[in-house]
Amino acid sequence: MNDESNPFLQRLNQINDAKVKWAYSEWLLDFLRSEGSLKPKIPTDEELLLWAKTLH
Amino acid sequence: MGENIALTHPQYLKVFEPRFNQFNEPQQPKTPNAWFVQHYPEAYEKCGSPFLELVEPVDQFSVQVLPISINPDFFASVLGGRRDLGHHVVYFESEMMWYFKDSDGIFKSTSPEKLANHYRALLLKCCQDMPQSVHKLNLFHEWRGDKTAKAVVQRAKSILAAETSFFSPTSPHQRIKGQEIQERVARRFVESLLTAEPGKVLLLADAYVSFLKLAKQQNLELVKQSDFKAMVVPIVQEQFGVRLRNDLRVDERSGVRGWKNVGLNQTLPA
Repeated sequence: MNDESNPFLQRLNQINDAKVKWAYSEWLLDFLRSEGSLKPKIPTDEELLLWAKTLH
Repeated sequence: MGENIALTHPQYLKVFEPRFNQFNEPQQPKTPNAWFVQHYPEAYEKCGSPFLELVEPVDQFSVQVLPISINPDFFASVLGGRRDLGHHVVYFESEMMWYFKDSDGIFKSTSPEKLANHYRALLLKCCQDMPQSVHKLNLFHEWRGDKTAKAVVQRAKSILAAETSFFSPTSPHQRIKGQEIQERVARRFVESLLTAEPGKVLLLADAYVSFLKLAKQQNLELVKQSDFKAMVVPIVQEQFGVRLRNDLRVDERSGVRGWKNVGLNQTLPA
C-alpha cells in the first residue's frame, strides 16, 4: 500500500501540510500584532485540518 | 558594475516572466522576481513585476542576476496580505488607521512601523532563499532601509484603502471595539480640525460639540464631556504645546475652560 492509498498516511500528510502553512501564517501575522496582544492557542490536529479547509 | 551593462545591453534587463520545466510545472524560484511572484501571485497580477532585474550571462550555462530597481506598487500590494492564508490588511482612511485580520477573523489595529517591519522581513526571507548567482546587496541593504520601507507603506495607503462602509454594521468585516476607537477619533479630531492660531481661544465646550458631530458621522457611541476631556487634553498638548486653561475670560465670563492660541476648523473631514 503506497502513501496515497493509505488513509492514515494521507491524514498525516494533510496535518503536516496544515502545520507548515499555519506556522508560516503566524510568522507573518506576528509582525503586525502588538506586544501583549492575545495570541491564538496552538490548534489541535482537528482544528488545523478545519483551518486548512477554509483556505483557498 | 551593472549600470554600464544595463546601458549597453538593454536585452539583459528583465521583468518577471513565468517559466515552466519540461513537465509544465512551476520551478523553484531562483530569482527575487520568481520568489515574490510565487508567494504573492495576486500582487503580481495587480501591480506587475516586483523588480527590474539585470540578468547577465556568466557562461554558456549560467547567469548572474542583479535586481536593480524595485516596484513599490507591488510591495504595497504585498502588504495587503496573503489571501490564500486568510490574511487581509487595509488602510481605514476615515480614521487614518491600519487594520489587519488576525487569525481569529477579527480586524485589529496595527501601525505603519509594523508594516515596514513586515516588508523588511519578507525581503530578507527572499534574500536568504536565493542561490549564489543572485546579487543580494540591494535586497539585504538598500531596499530594507527606512527610505524605501516608508515609501512602500505610504504607497500602500492608497492601494489598500478601505472606505467607511468596510466596518459598517452591515459589513461582514468585524473589528475589535473599545475605547481605543474613540481615542483614535479624538486624535483625528485634533489633527484635522484644530489649528495653531495665535490670539484665538478654543473653548472646551465648543470642541466637545464639534467632536460629537465627528463621532456621530463615524457611527460611534457618544462620550461624556469628561471622557472627551481626558482623551483630548494630552493630544492637544502634544500637537500644539498648550495646556488646558481653567482661567479664561470670555464674554465677561471668567473661569472658562479652553485652550489659548488654538483654532477650530468647522468643516468635518469627509
